[in-house]
Amino acid sequence: MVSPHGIKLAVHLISTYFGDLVSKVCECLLRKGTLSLAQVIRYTELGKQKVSDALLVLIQHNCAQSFTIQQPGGFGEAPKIVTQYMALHDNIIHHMRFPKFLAIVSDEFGQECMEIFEGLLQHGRLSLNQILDRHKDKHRAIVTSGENSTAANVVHENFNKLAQARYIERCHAHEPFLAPEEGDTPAKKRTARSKMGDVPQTLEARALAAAAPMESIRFLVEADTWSNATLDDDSKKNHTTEIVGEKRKQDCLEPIPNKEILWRVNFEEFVRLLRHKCCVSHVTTRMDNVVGIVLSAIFDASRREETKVKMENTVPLPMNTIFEEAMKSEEGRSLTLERVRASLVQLGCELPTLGIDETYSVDLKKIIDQAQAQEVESIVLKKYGREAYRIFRLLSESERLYETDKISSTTFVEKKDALKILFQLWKDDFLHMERLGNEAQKSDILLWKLNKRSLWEQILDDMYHAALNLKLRLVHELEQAKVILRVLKGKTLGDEVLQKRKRVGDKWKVLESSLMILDDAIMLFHDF
Amino acid sequence: MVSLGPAKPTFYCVINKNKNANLTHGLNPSQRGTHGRPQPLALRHEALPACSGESRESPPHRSLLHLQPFRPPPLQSTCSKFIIVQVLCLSSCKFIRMSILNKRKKPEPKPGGGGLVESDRVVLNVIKSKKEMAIWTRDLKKETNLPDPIINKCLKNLQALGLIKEVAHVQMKGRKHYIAAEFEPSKEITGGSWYVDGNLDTAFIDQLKDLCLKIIRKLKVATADGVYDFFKTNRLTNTDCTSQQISEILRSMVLDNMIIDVTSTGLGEYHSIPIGKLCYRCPPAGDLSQGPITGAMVSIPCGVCPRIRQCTPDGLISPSTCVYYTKWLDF
Ligand code: SF4
Repeated sequence: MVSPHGIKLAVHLISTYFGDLVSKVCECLLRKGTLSLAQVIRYTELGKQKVSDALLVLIQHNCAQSFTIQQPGGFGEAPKIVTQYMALHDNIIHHMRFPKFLAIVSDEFGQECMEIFEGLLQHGRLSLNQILDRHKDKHRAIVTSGENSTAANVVHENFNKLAQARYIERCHAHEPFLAPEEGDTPAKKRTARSKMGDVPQTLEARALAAAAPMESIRFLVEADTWSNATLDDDSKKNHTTEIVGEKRKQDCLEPIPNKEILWRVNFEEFVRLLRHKCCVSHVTTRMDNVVGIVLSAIFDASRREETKVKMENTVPLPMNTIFEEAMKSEEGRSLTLERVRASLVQLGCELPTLGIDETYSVDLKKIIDQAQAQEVESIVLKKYGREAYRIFRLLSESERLYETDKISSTTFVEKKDALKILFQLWKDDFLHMERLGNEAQKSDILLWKLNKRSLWEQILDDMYHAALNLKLRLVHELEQAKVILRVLKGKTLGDEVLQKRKRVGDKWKVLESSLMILDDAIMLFHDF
Repeated sequence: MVSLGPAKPTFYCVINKNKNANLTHGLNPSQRGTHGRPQPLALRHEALPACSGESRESPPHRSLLHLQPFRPPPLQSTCSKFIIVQVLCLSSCKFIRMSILNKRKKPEPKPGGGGLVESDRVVLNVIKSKKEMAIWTRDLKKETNLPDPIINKCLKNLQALGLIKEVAHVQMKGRKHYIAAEFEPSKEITGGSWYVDGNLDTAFIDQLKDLCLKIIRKLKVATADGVYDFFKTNRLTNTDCTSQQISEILRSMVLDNMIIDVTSTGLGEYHSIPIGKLCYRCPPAGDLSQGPITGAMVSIPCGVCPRIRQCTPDGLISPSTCVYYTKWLDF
């Protein structure tokens, strides 16, 4: 379930990128869950055409997924096949991170790969031909016709690189059919399961699983796609440029006649990469550089083997592999086997009792947990002070009930002050409180507990809220800047004018970079 | 307890030069440790040598009570001729005995006087029954069923006689608590070893923390016992502190993120510490001065904003009208 401000932020993002109409439909899906076209029309009170256009835009940009299910017909009627639409909240929020993803690709593969990648980010999904056309359009001025095929080769090569690095993937299937599960209607099943809490697989998860391409072809760039692209180049030109241009949602409306394979950005890989980065930077600051190098080497060596993003432990690797990988990096070249081993121990690995078959796996969940706790602790420190910080850290050590006296004596905070702090934290939903009647002292004994799960959810919601506020302030500053610049327009570029401009730029920079840092924290709490 | 009967009217009274030192919980400076900490009880009794061969556990003034079946006149009253007064001179530790040979008159219990009237006895008994837990005046009133003025007089009287003392309750500082003189207030009342007069001894705690940090920096890795031994062998403070206290200090320093706790691996720096033993070390260099690493939320106004719950895009409090932002972006 997405938190209230998570939805608000997503709606704001959609509204800035695709307009109010699309955002209205998106909000409806986010708030009400999976719906059919008719239901969306009913809830949004928009016309059919507008709703289906909005849905297509959302699908095109990977912000929604459609699928079909079989619903029992009315009395005496045959069962109906109904198309359902679900919003993909994570993917919507990923839109905020595009600059980060672009920077990663540009750092690793350079400008040309970045251009291809940028196209995919802008248009949501493209076929190889469309990418090629886009490239041609962009470089029409500099590339002569004779160089066309070499340029196409380069694009193809870069495209291959991106697919091999798993930064791009084949699009999910459009409207996969979900066979009904025995006995229950899907809607009923969903609610019953979510109430039970064990949630084996929701309808949405089943739909996503059904839509996902098979792992074996997910990153496969077929040779014939490419040859088609070069051969039919001219014949396709008009058609594709049109799609890439304004009517890019067209390809979702109707099945593509020539069954071109559509590609999109593989967000999962970027989340994984950023998760690795976060772990490495956390251990580097908490322990030391070498530990960071070793963990980074482990990630590099096991990049292909990771099966999902939220891996709790790294793939077990033999000592030699880790050591060799560590030696590849500039900083790791001088490391000794002993030093690497000591770092692994620092990372919480246990040394095998027998020297043979020395494999290690690092507990990543622990690192992520620590990083999350650190973020929350810093909030407590700044908001409530050092004594509260100490108390909070005590309570977060083990999620059990603590008596006020015990808290006060362990943290060296005067009992009265401790009580004040605890009440404040409780009032702001940081803590849970229980009263125990005490006849002897004629007063209640107060017990305090930290409920990490609910607090972490609340912190995440606050983060979404803060990100939304940053975005809104950015819009506000932009409007202010427009006014200022309009006033300054006629004036000559004096010192004052330049200074004002600089100040506007500085404000943007601060807001933008703060948003990116905050987004790291959002990912830490939500995606890692 | 043996009663000597009215035939031998003798009254002993300890006169302490420093009244406060004996009668209340308050300690004179000479009785406090280097950091204003109270000396252990035994030490305090040493200042009061047994004036009539009494053992340390039962100071003279306390035994006297039991020897007195009659109500002697108040110490400060003019009828001192009836009394044999034993004066304790603290500086010379000599006793001056004065005896007045006049025949004893049956004393009149004078309300408000220093003798024990019935009400005094009732009050004293209730206070005694609470032992080291002490009693709040309001509860005393409830249990004795005596009116306020009487209770107040009794308390004054008993206090003047050194039979009870007032103690500061660590949690209820505004409420007067009394305890019988022979008891020391319990941990619940004093707050434990870190409290002095009901207040947390922060100066002492900070000093200990500081020292512990220096020791850990020096030793790189140390167990609680290691730090304690260092304290002892190097005589770093002239105040007594127990290994338990050092452990408590280290624990709070971990909570403060000044040091981190790790379990010994037995390797490298940990070679001298048994594997699996809890030890303490400093976090990687640089972190100490900065304190805990700053997070993403605290670097923006909304992250620590007290108004975040009321803040909405179009509300009275909104990001576009936000003063915190205006201040933050004012450069
Ligand atoms: S925008 Fe201002 S008022 Fe609103 S939450 Fe952020 S700091 Fe607080």
